Amino acid sequence: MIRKLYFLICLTFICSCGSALYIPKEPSVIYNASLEELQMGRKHYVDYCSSCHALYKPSDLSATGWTNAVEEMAERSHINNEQKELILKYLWTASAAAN
Amino acid sequence: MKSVVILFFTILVLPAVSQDRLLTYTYQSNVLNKGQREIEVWNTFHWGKVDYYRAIHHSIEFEIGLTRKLQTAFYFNVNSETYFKTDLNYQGSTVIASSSLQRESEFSFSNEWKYKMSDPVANAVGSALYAEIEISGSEIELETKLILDKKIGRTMHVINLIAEPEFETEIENGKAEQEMEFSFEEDYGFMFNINKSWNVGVEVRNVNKTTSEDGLLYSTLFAGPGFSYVNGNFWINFTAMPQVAGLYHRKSYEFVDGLELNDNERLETRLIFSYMFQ
Repeated sequence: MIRKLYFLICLTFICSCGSALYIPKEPSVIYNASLEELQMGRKHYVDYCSSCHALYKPSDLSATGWTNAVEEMAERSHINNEQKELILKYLWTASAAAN
Repeated sequence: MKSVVILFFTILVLPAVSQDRLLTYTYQSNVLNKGQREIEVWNTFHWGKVDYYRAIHHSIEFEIGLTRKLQTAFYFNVNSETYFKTDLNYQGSTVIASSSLQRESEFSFSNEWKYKMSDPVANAVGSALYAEIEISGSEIELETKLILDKKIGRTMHVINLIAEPEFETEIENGKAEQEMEFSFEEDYGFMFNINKSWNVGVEVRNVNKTTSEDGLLYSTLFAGPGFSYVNGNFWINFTAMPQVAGLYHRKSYEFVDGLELNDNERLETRLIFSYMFQ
């Protein structure tokens, strides 16, 4: 019984493996962001935001919603303006790609 | 007006901004950012063994983020227990048994380190390595964990694989001697996110202990419901964890109601509340 339970848990893990977070593959013309900026924005989003809460998918909010959210949380997450801008460019681009 | 509505829905959808620990027994892979500090107060209540047994374990923990992937923490622990004890007194050929409630308290200090290797959303599986050393007057424990977690939609699944060597001082043949015990444990935690503040779920623990002299002493299964509430920089988590099955016990002992109650309790509950400083 116990072994079956752990087998099911492990199976759930394995079946669900895969990044749920948008990975940029090309620059964004709309938001004037290079591929390197988007990749760096994703890295900052993962590094700084995941310490306070499990990351949310970019598609969960619109561009305006992300702007408000990141503005509100920037001070608490100890990011500077440059990092904030990169995170926003990544989230805007990923949100637009998903929606 | 439009921006107010957008802000309202943003706040509704996004989580509050505190360390996102959702479970009480099972650890997640996230670590504090560099320079972030958090204080946690732990209260664990233990109840019921073969005879009367109650214990309460308090810990005050101070956590600090050292780098983006590494955090450390210091704990001050107080453990207080009351249990039923029978003493045998020999008067000539007569044996007189006397029973009493024994009370003991112990203080200890712990230091933990956690290193995050991957993220439960950005990577296929979140993972972290964890080590904690606890030193008290009678024992030294080293607890090591491999932490795995995965966020799937509104659910969080967490697995901890724990190995814990323990060096305990015991009196044998009139002398204080060190005995090595080894615990290994597999924990699983599940949490469902209801809204920005509330999560509910269950935790399951399989606890096993061996000694260098006697081999496997016991194997037990604990499982119970829990919740997590987050509000701004404050969070509170609670889990009630009854022992649901004794899986193995040493030959000289027996299960009581199907439970291993010589070394484990009928019920554990844990409440943790925390505040994060900016």
